[in-house]
Amino acid sequence: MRIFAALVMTILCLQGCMQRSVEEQSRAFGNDEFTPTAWAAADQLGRGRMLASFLRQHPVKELSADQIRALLGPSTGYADYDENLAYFVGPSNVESEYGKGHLLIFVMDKKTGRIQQLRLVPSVKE
Amino acid sequence: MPVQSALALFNQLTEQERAYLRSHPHHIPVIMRAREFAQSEAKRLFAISGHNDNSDAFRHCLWSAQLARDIGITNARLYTTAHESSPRNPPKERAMDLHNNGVGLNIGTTKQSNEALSRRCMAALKTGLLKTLQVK
Repeated sequence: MRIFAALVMTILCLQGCMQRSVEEQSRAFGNDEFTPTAWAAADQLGRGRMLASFLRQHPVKELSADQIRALLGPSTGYADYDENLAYFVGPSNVESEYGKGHLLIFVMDKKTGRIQQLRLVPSVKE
Repeated sequence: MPVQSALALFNQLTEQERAYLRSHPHHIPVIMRAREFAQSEAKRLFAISGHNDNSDAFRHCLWSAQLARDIGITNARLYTTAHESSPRNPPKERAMDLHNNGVGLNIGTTKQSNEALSRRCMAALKTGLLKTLQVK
């Protein structure tokens, strides 16, 4: 049992290490300057091109959901819980369980209300 | 489902969901399968698995209907209510979800196939039984 648990933990750790951060993945979309106004006017592709700039300007784990909403507007997607914020970004020629395009998910810590994790589903292939 | 996604989901469970799953661990695969079918049907029928819209209402209905059929309406009500129990869940959105879950739970007592439950949830949406927060 202990060997099995250790094996599972090793696999999970390896998967975690191999997964590139959202910041790294976002560079594949482009490098347009993020501003809340430009984001609000942009389509899904345009928002993808601004993602890297947004993440450079705003350390998301220091932000609350209200602050994210003020910058990015209301969610355009849904990711498992209403309190998570979710936005479709980038090309729509990819698909996940959530729909067409990459879903940028701000997973909220249900106790603190701060952003616990940032996910991009599906992840961007190298 | 990829291990990473399952792990990410597990980390997000509400306290009440964790408590339920601790006492009913054998329901985990049933709940996950129902979630996956509800999401894929929403995506197939609406092109998106959205938020506060028709696809959201339909997805909650279908998830709850499958659970009522597979783990019984009492357990299904307990779990689907636990899913909405975070104090950070906006009250209007929680009310919408609980309403649509309730419609789905009743549909699920008919014990029909996934496809039939999907059709009945779609009919519930079209006849105005399900709620959304979208301005019409």
